[in-house]
Amino acid sequence: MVSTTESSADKIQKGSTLSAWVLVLFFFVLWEAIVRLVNVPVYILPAPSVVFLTIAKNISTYANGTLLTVGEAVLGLLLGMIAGTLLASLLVFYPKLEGGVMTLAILMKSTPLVAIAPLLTLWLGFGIMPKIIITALMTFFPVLVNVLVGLQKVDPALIDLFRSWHASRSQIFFHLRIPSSLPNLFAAIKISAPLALIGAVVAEWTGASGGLGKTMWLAYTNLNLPFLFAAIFILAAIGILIYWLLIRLESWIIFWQLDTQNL
Amino acid sequence: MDLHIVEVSHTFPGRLTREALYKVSLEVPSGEFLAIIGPSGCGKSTLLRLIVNQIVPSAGKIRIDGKTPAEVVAERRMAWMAQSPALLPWLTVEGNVQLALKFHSPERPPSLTAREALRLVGLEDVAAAYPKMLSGGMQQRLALARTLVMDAGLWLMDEPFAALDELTRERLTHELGEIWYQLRPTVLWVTHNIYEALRLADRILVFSPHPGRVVGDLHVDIPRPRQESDAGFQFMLSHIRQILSQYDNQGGNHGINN
Repeated sequence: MVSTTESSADKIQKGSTLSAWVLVLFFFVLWEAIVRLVNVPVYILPAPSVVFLTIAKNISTYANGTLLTVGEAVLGLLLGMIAGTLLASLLVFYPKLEGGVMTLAILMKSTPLVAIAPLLTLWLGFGIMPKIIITALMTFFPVLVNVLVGLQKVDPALIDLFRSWHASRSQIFFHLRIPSSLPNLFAAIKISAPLALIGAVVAEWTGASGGLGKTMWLAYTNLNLPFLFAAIFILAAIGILIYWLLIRLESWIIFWQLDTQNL
Repeated sequence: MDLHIVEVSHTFPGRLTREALYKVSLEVPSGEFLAIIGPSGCGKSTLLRLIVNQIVPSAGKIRIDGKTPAEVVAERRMAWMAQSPALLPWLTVEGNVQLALKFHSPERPPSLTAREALRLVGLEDVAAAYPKMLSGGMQQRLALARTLVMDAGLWLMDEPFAALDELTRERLTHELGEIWYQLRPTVLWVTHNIYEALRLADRILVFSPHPGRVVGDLHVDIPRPRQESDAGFQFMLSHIRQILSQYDNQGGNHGINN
């Protein structure tokens, strides 16, 4: 029978979000208390209040840096996503290529990308290009593997049905394989998004004209710990925000899957 | 559409070579409702898959209105329904039927709209719902609506209601009978429920355990609507049980509901 999906799941969700915030708050209070009671010097561990004050005082520096770093990460993420999805689609149509391409992709994945970041900076300069390439490379592999599995693992009963309709391979691809693989694409993006942020920051460490990574590097060389922590706080917040946005987007786009999982 | 099968055998290749069908010959005149009954694994489903061109027989010939299965599939004149309703979860109830209409033969205009097909199976009120919101019986009704819009002359039905509860199955079987009576397609209905077969079919084919062979070919001359209490019904029932019991000593009742 037709049922509505209003359930206790939402309440549980809200409850766990609340308890997470309480824990974070508790963590900050504890941290603040320890720093003040033990008199930890600021060049070892600044109190959270000092870090938040640093952000407030330098808000434009951090805003610009955040914009640049997040921009690089998002562009790289999109590039890696598009490349991974296109290659996975190609492998569905030409399955003979799968062995060779996957071996290459695994080789590429096994190379520590952080190690080639300085090289890209040397070749391409301090602009955003090397950062985008690094984040794209980090995103590419999870997307390729996940989307390929999603495109291949379609319900055989549905394939039988489409065959009985005399559907062409491309019709099966667009009507069946693409929508079936969307949950896998989201799984891949949820893995890749934090990686993309790491990729952008690490690439900035190797030389950049701006961005949070550059700010961190400057703070580190000057032993300015409040400045360094401020960047870390912002990165953590962005990571959480991106993940939250992705979950929202996921439940909106692939509603047919989440419906039952939440019940 | 009439169906003409001559000495079709099929063996699945591979390390565990398995002979599924052995020299099956069959004539099904246009508009007949044929039930195929037999123990589990007797090749009933294989026969349907051969007809719908999902597999190619190892030997023998299949012709539908004089054409090969591949040709008839290309003309989109066969409809396939299986135990899984095979619905697209991201499309609404109506969207699922409309998708089927997209694959309707371009040479003839469809005789039903998606809405009309949904009305026929009693799903008009939930046209905007999504398949996951429907019960198992409603999902199979939707699959039936999708079959209806294809205007196919030959319906291949591989135990479409087997996964449903008894009451729903009985109701759907009855509704299918009425729809068939109106449209008169040729139907091949695989089941392992003798009662269902006797209620619906013009003719019942009994298969032996594997490799499947035709061991009984019975015309059901009982006027519709058929009641279990009819003498004719009971006679046919015991007759079919008798045929099947010859194979009982080869390993239980093979999952037949008798």
